[in-house]
Amino acid sequence: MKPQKLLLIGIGEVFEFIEDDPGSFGLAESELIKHKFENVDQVSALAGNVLKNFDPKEVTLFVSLDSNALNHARLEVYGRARLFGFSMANLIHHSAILSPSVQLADNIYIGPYVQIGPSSEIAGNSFLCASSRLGASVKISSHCWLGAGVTVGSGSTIASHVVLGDNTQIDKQTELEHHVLIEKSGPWSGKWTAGTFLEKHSTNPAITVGPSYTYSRMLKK
Amino acid sequence: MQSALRPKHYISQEIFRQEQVKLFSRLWIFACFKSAVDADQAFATRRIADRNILIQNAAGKIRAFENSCPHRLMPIQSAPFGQSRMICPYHGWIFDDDGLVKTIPKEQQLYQYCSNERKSLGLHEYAVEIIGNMVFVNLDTNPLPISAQFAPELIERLTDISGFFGEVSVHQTIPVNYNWKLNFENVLDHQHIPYVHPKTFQPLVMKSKADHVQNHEQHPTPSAHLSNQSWFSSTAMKVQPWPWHELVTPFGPKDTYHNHFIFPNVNFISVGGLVFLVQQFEPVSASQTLVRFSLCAAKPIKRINALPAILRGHLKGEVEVLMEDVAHLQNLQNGLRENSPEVHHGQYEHRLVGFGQAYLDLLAIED
Repeated sequence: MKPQKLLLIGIGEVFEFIEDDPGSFGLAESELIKHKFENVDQVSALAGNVLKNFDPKEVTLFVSLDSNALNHARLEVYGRARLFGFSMANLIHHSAILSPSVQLADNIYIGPYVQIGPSSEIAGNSFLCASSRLGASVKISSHCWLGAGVTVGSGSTIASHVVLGDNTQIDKQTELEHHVLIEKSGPWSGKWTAGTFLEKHSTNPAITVGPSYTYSRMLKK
Repeated sequence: MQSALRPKHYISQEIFRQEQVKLFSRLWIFACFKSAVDADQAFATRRIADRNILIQNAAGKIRAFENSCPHRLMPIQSAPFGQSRMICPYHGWIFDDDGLVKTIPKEQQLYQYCSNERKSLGLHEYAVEIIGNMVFVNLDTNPLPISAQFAPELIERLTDISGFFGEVSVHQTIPVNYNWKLNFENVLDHQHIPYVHPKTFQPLVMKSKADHVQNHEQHPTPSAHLSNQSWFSSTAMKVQPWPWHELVTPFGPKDTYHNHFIFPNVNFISVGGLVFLVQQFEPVSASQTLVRFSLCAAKPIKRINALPAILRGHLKGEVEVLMEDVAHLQNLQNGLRENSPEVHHGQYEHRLVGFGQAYLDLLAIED
C-alpha cells in the first residue's frame, strides 16, 4: 500500500514554497510532515538521525536543498535515504505542462508554469524552478538546478551537478558537462567542459583544472 | 620617501615594451601549478612577454616551448589547459617529446625540405624550473640562476607550502584597465585594507596584531637587490571553520594568513593553510592588465564531495575583493599624466620603494 504521508526535509526557497502551498502540488496539509534544517551542512550531518524517526513504509520522502547543486555533499543525504528504504516522491506543480512522453526519475521538483517537451528525460534530485522550459529530447542528469525562467533548447544534454541561474538561455544541441555553472543569460551553445563557472559579473569563465577535469592519468596511446 | 618611479612608468607604451624585453623575457615568471600539468601530455598555455608559451608534460617531464608550429606559426595547443599530444591542428605535423618535428603528412610529396632545413624544424624550447608545485619559465637564451632571483629561504618556503596543494584547482582571468605595477604595489601596501575592503577583508584581520611579522624586517631601508623583492610573511587571521577543513591537511598553524610576494608580478596567499591563491598581474599594455587567479584547496585526506562548490565559493570571494581594488586602481590609472605630481611614500612603504628601484635597475640593463 502506498504511503499516506510525505516527509519533506531540507532548506531553501523551494522548501519554503512547498511548505507554504502544499495544495499546489496535490498535497493536503494533513499529509505533509516537515523538517527544516538551518544550513546544508546540517542536512548532511543530521539527515540520517531525522530519517531514523520515520518508517519508510508509512512515508514517502522528498529532499529539497538549496540551489548550490555543485555541492556534492547532498549525495550523502539521498544515498542515506535510499539505504534506509525510503521511496522518493516527485513534486509537480499543478500549473506545469509536461508532454506525456517525458520520463522522470525520483525526488524531482517541477515548479509553477514549467513546460517540458516530448521525449525529455530528467534524472533524480533535479529541480526545475518556475517558468523554466525544456524543448524536445532534452536530457537532464541528476542533482541539477535550473533557475526560474531558464530555457533549454531541444536536443541539449545537461550532465550532473549543473547550475543554471535565473533566465539563462541554453541553445539547441548544447552540451553541458558536469559541475558547469552559468549565471549569465546567454544564449549559450556548444560544449561546456566540466567545472566551468560563468558568474553573473564575470567577463571570462572560471575553469576547473586537474584530474577528471582537464586531464586523465590514463592517456590512450 | 619619494618613489623612484614616475608617472611615465605607468602610462608609456615604450616603457611597457622595454618591460617585456628586460623584465618578462629575462626573469623567472610563474607559469602554472605543477598539478595542472601532472599527467602525460597535459598542457597549459600562457602569454609571457608577448610570446605564446606552451607548458607541456612530455613523457613525465614538464617542458616549455614556443607555442607556434615552425611551418606556418599556428599554435600547437589553443586551450588554456588540456591534455593532448603536440600535433599541429593546421596541417597535422606531429612533434616528439623534445619538441622536434617527428612526422609531416605527405612530407616528400608536398614539402621536400632539404636535409638541413628538415633537421632544424622543431619548437623553440625555454628553461623551466619547478619550485614545489609551482612551475616557472624563463625566456632568456641564457637564463639567470633561479637562486639569483629568489633567496634560498623563499625557495624553501614555496617548496614547503606548495606541497600542501590539492590536485584540483580553479582558474580565472579578469581583464582590468590599469598598469600591472599598480596592482603589485597595491598588494604590497597593507594599509589600504581598512579603507578599500572594510567589509570583505578587514574584518578577518585580527586587531591584536598591528603589524605583520616579516622575515626581512630588521632594517626597513628600501633594498633594490633583486632577491630582496620576493619575500613572505604571516599574519594572524580569524578563519571561519567549515566541516570540510577536517578533510584536508592544512599548512602551518591555525588562524594564519600567509602572504608571499614573488617578483615581478605574483602575489601568493593562503588562508589558514587551507586555501591557496596565486594572483598574477599579466601586462597586456601600459594601461591594461590581465589578473590571473589560480586557486586550490589543501590536499584532501579523504574525498571532498563538495570540492567544486568550495573552490567556486572561495574564488568568488577573492574576485569580489579584487573588484574593490579595481574600482580604485582604474581611477588612479585614469588620472595619471606625464606631468602628474611626484609620489611621497611613508616609511611603511619601503617595499614599494625597493620594488621601484629594482624595476628601474632592470630596465637600465642594456639590450
